[in-house]
Amino acid sequence: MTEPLLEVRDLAVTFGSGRGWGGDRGRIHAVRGIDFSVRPGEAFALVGESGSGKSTTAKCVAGLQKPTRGSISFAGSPLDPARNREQRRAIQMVFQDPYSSLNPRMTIGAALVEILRVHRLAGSRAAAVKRAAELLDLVGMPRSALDQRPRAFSGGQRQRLGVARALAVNPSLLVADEPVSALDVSIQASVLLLLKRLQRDLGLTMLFISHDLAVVRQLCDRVAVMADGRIVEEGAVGRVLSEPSADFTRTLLAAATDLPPLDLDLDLDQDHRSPKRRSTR
Amino acid sequence: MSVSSSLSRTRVASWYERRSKRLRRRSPRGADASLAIGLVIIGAMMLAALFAGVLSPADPTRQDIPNALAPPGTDGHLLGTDALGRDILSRLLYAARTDLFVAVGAVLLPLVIGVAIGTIAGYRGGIVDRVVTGVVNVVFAFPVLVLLIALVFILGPGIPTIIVAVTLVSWVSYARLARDLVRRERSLDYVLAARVSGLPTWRILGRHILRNIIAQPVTFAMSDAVAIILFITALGFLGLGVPPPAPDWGTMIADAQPYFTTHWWLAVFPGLAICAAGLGLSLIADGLSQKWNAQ
Repeated sequence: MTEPLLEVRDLAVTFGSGRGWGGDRGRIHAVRGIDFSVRPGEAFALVGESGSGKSTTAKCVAGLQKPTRGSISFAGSPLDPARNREQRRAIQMVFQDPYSSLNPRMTIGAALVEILRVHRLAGSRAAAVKRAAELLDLVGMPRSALDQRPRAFSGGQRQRLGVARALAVNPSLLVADEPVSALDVSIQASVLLLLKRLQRDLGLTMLFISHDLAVVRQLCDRVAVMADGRIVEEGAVGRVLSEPSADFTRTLLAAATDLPPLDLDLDLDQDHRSPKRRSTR
Repeated sequence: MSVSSSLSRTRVASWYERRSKRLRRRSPRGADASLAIGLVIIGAMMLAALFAGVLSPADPTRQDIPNALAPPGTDGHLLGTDALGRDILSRLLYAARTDLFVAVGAVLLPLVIGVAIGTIAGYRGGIVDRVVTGVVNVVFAFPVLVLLIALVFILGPGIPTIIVAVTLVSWVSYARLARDLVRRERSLDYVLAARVSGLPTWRILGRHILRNIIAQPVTFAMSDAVAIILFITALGFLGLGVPPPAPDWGTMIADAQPYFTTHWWLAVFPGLAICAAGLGLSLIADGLSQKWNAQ
């Protein structure tokens, strides 16, 4: 058995101080002590309903949320809250809402170049621009996107740009927090396909957060089911989805839709639609 | 090589495309019009202030008692003279220097200080935010004129005193505005993404958050400038403003008080100057906010 890339032990997050009026009732236990580990190269899914603590867990892993208790180890060494640049670089994140996850006032090129320059991944400005263009190739976006601002793109396109930004610093772990749940179903497939291909081609490890078991079935190897801040079931995707042991998993499964398995050779360019169409819906 | 050259060609092309698109679509016509008119008014006033030495027909402080209270159109005094026989047109022009300089200083300083403090408080949160919010509330509650009288005692009357006093009082408006905007902004995904990307905090604040929130404080500053010109006027009227004999619009109106009913030109011309400055700044504020909202 290989050494896990990410190891989460007894992670707990509590919001609110619990002091003052109401005592402990003022506290919200978002995550109540969970353990899981992700092996290198695998796609690990954390599923659950909203409020189950899965997004909070993702934020802890990405370093955006301080755990109240517990530890997170990455590649064998513990991650403390003040991560060094190398540790920050190694774990990157794709966000749920493609409409707020890109800075509206920066061109795509400027945003990518900034990240590359800050991490000294490009020797010169020209090299950074060249690398940014390669990143766009990687996610199937035209290079002309470099000089455009996010408002020029549709939700699916923005999500690809978000993936490009995450990949800019060559991470080894990609945390994807509901990356397709804000998108039309027709566009979801192309973003999922992109993630799957990147995982295969770049050897990425992925922590995939979702409430949709159908999406998880298409993309992931192993799954942990969360409910009310705890992990209620964990195992290989095929096993958990075909013979769930926890009642809660059965409920989730009953709510899931069936999607065909992803065809890796499918054409990626099916969502080059005008972003305007979203507003007419 | 070929990659970068083709890259730069699409870059130029798309720049033109964006430019023309923006000109066609981005800003409502009304916004451009009010911005243009406002800029013309304020620009003309600034030029007049700058070249007051050349444009003035007379020394603004030279008294000529025999010719006092001459009506507009009197030989050599286009807008007449005041109670001490000083040329009103010259005084108006020199007063523009004082008033516009004070307005600019008393807007820029609080804008910069207030936005900086508010941004840090909003982003850091916690104890820093609580302290700043507390100070802001105290300053809001403090009577401005009392503070100013105290400052005039300490620093002596004059332009620097007015700028310091206005800054001490009005940075809080900008701090509160910036703090609230930043608090909303910092939880947006693009800021979280910048943090995950490992960008240094000052960079996130300056290049990402500030750029997205700065429109509102700047628009507010423009309308605040109107209020400050009126405030200087009020100070001049109270005798706390610019010390004589240097002219400013407010003092001119205050000096004209005994003659309001008999010699209208003493108060009307500085009054018109104040109106024009206020109108110009308001139009700029209006145009800017419409333009930014459209984006």
